Amino acid sequence: MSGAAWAGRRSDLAIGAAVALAWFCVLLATVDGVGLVRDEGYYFEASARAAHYWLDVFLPGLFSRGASQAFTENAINLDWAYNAEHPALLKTLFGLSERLFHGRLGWVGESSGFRLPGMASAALLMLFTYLFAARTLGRAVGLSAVALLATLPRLFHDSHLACFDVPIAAASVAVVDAWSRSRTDRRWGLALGVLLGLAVATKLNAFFLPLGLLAHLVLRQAPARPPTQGGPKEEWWASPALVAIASMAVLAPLLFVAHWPWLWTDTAEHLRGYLRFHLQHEYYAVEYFGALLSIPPYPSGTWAFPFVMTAVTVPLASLALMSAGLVRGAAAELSLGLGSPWRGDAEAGDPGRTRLLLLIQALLPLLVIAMPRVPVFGGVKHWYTAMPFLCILAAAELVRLARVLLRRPALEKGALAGAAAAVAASGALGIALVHPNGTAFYNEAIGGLRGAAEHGMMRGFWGHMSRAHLDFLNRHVGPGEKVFFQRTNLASVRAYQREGLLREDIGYAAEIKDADWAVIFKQRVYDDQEYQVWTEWGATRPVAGLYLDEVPMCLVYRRRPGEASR
Amino acid sequence: MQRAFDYALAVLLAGALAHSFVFYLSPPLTRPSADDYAEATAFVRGQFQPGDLIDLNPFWATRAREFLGDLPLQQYRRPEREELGPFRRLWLLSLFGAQSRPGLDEGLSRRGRLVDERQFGKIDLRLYALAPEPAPAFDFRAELRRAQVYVTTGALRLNCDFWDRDRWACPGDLAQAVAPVLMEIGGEPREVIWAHPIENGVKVLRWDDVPLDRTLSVRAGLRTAAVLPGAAPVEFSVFIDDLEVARWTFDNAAVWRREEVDTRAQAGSRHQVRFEVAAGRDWVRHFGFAAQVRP
Repeated sequence: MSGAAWAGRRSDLAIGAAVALAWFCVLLATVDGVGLVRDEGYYFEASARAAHYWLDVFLPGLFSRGASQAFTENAINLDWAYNAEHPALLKTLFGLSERLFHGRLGWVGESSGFRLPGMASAALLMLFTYLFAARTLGRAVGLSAVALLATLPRLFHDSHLACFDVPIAAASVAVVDAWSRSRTDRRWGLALGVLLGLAVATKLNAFFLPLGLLAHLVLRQAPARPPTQGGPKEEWWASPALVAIASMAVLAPLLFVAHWPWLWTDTAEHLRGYLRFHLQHEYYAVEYFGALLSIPPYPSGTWAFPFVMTAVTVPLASLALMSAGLVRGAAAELSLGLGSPWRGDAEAGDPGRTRLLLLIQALLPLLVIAMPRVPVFGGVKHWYTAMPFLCILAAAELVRLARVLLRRPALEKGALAGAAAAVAASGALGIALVHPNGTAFYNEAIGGLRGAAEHGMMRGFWGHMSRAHLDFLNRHVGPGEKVFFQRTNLASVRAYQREGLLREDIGYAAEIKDADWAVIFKQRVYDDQEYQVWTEWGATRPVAGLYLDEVPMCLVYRRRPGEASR
Repeated sequence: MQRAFDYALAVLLAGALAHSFVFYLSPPLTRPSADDYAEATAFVRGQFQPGDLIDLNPFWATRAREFLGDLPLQQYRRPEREELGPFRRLWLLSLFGAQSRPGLDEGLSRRGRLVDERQFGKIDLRLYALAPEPAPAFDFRAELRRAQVYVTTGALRLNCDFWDRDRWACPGDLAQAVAPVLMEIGGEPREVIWAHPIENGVKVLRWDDVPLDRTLSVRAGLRTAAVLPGAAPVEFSVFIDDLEVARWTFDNAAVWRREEVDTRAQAGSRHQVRFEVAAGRDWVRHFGFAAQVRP
């Protein structure tokens, strides 16, 4: 590597690190009001157990005569049988972070302690996206891409959580970048196996990554440069691709098994159970254009769910650029693949076929969700792995547009910065409208939250919006009275109480009939529980409500005084 | 070609950005203020009379329920299509220009006449005087306690004869209770008798000595969340003195079916009215119906 190239890479690393650090600070500054989602209740418990295993069982065992105790089925089951549907990497990080930053140092509250690694991985998502885009398409594309990515309102919300969806997006970019680098550098081919192992240790989505990479390997063999330029065609078996594939095939599974104590005993059965959980995943009802999608087969046209949901949840300007990037990229790649590249196609000479790689990685996660019988719950988080690549394609369009239209370098930088800032600002306005309840975000195309409500789209879900009512409940619930929290699970309620956000004497009622108060989410599949409050309590007038742009999200009812429990 | 694409994209992007900024900066200008709510709802409460109904429009904008929820209040998707017969007046409280929806004013004007219209800031309040209909002569839901409920499987008959506060409990499985509930059917919460079909049997609800009149109004449907492909169809039949007068099959559709059975021939006399519900498989067959004898 030349000195200039090395300096450039160091500069990129510095820029990317600065962006990531800034992003981490933004997330940390905005995490307080973000309620606990249902999954976090379970993950907190699983993470605490993970930390317990590593710090209180494994490490002490390692340095004592009873080392083998840490590897017994009993010791492992005690901490790892719970929530065995997700691998150990993130749960371990969540748990260790809580122990250190909350338990030992007392810098943050309990939930933020668990959430710090999630926020750190969101920062890494920015870093990896910038580095990949800057290396392959230029610094302007890199910066624009992270600006677009950071201002996706739903991703912004989920970046605060102790969940796996944003971390797997970060891991995916790292894997794809390593794949891209491995074409010319076998060391990256080796690193690829490790990175894929870490990705698989993060979340199941990583299993689909090699499919996209192999598709890229096959498709990039198509003519990569104008036939007139000639030159020998690269044979895949002679390329470093073999190292990369072997590395993925060997290192990733080894790392996956090695990192997860649950797989250290009864490996085959536990692995089967893990896969079975996801292959036979429970279906949760989703409201989609007025219909409730509960159990497949879904109505015809539902295959478009991930595409439509993306179209109504990505800010409009970003969506326009993403769409343009996909259309132009697909058309250009098709021409290129057929041996007749577009005139002036700057990427036609790219032997790494970065644009093709971006297209595959941007579309594959959506195509997976579009398959019949794949559960469609969870809003858009299950295809966050596509978002960095869509943002890079969008950013590349923006940069190209500035260059083509202005043709004056003096104006180009300023105009590009202005345009990127404007696109990002439109997303930031969307974030401002919904934060800290980002799962409710819908874009301008559907008319925002009002339009989504009008068209029968799911509003809030995941049980986190009760966070908005904790102060109200603290002030109004009588001593020893019980609250039915509906979609907020017991683990989350207990976490709020441990953290001092909810009074400890407030009771948890699993059923409406046992409660004095009810927190009701405006989630259509559970509407009957609101009706139950109306009819059984005679309470038809909410005493508090969370409204976003006048759209009700989460209401509080009080049992009519004198109305006895049934 | 590419140049055209570039210009088109530039225009699209500029348009999207302009639309976005207007879109995000304008909502605060269209939202009612706390004062708007306080004044509008205080006015409704002050003028409210027995026989009035309040409807919140659009159906999802329900903050006014915090002020008026203790009064008869609905949030219909299409109020002009709903049965407003029991009510003498309708207060239509609209936000965001929803009072101008196509078909709304025309539909409501067919049911009555607009007698008052006021603005409270961003809230539009309209009062319609409705053409009142006579009260039902017999409401099967209100008279559920009088029903005989049983299940027949072949020659076997199992009585659901345990009255649990407000519902009949069937043997074996409390989920199969016959109960007065509020259930979302056809997009709206409906006051129905929940009559979950029983597997390989027929659930029967029978009322003796029902005073018939001009019509027997029957409404029925599947709960919205129970509209699932692959679930068994529900067969619903209505009998008067063992004569089948209506028979519907509910395939999986989110509909609230309405039928008026002409009973003028039996008007003024008492008869047995029986409803039968059956399905090949009872999985998520949340079925509800309502029926009234109307003069």
